[in-house]
Amino acid sequence: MPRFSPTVVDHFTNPRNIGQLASANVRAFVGNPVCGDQILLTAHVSDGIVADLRFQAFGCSASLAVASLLTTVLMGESVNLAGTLDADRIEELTGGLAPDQRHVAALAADVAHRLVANFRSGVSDDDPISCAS
Amino acid sequence: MTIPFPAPPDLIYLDHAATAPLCEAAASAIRDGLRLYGNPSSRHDAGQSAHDALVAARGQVAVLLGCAPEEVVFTGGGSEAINLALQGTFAGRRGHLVTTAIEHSAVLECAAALSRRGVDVTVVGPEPSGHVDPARIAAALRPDTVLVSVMHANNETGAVQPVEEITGLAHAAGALVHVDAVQTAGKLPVAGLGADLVSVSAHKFGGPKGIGALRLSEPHTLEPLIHGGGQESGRRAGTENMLGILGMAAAAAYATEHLDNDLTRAAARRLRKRLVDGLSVVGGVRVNADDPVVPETVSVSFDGIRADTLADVLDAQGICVSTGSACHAGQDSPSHVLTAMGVSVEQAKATVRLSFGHGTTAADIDAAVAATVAAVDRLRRVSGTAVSGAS
Repeated sequence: MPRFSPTVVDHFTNPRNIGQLASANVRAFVGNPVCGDQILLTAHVSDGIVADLRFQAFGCSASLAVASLLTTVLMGESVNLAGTLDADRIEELTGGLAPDQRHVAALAADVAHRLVANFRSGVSDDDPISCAS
Repeated sequence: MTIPFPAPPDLIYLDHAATAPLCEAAASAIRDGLRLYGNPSSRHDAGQSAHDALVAARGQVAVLLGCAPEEVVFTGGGSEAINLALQGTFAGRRGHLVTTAIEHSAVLECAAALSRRGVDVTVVGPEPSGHVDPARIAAALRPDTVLVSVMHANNETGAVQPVEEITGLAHAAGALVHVDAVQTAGKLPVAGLGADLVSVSAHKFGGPKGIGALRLSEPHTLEPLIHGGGQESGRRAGTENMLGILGMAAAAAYATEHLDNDLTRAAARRLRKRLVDGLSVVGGVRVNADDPVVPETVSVSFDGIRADTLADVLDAQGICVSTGSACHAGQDSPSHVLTAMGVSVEQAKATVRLSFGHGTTAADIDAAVAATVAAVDRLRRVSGTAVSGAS
């Protein structure tokens, strides 16, 4: 049985929307202190719509995959959608995660929630990503 | 259930240090052995046929190990051979054991178990090069040192240890020597090792899993781990694993043929150079052992990446590599070998092991290099990690 779903493999081998957005007006960073996984989202939100979005991530392959997947889900959508995503929904979008990978769904939900929270409170300087694990 | 055999042809297998593919000679011997159903201990013809095959197989393994057939004890693998060597030597007595911090967990866990039973254990650290300094072994020796256990080559870095010099020092001090040759048997000559005990594992050199051997040199004796029917001259009870033994013997014979072949060894060194040179173009690359090394095993760190993620990306492309040793796969703790060498935790977690073997071609190496360089570059872009020196 493969360790990863085809969707997860697709995203960690061909990650979408890599990088930091120079024109970002909202940023969101989360890091898991236990496993060391980190995700940074930088977005340009215009009229409540995620007009552009980039991610950087350092961590296991599943965490890279969910970060990439998240950008494809949010791009062009209302920023409020980020607040509705929970770990179960993200796991569903991945096509399934093994028990030892499920923490990345929570990580992705956390960074999505932080994005919408930072947008609503006007925060645009969340912590930068560091590759140190 | 369908089991693919052999491995898919599009797979680039660079994890020979974990286990080598079964060689055709071993597969053939195992197939032939399926008809050999007699118990080698039985006196009837069926048993005698099995007994004859066992004798011949023991002889072939003895040639690889450079010893008399009577000195070969078949075991259930390398870890059992190591346990038999250490626990069997210290059975019923205490005294002092000297080993090193870069040993396989089979040795280190065995040493820890012996320590709990009252054996004094000294663990000698390696140099940053990945090698153990014989002078540090000499400094650890005591009048009550019973055994020195050191590996021939490290399973993670490939660093070849000065086992001959260590053996001389230990013998001069009146201590026995065990060499864990699991990573070298079939690659480097082990027949000339002067150690009293030598452990090997068949699946590392093209034999099947679940079978190994301990060379137990005369006149050393030890207490068996498994008591029973007196097989293996009372040193390891249990009806012999004939299929495993036949496969191991065929792989040993095949390996013996190729051991002294300069072309084979030169080809391995060329492949290593091709691999290391190819990987270096991505920058931020460090090879974790100096010469002498087993050319087939390359431990390499890539600044700014996580090794488990890189291994997953390569796996998705049909390229099999390992993070540290296979025994650490799935564990979060950094390699005890690398950290003992002074490698930082961050670098240890950025380390993959690529280990090639018989059948690996230059084209395989080139494809693995290209995929690895591309993957490292992409992973660094994903994390926003800039690495100086990349070309």
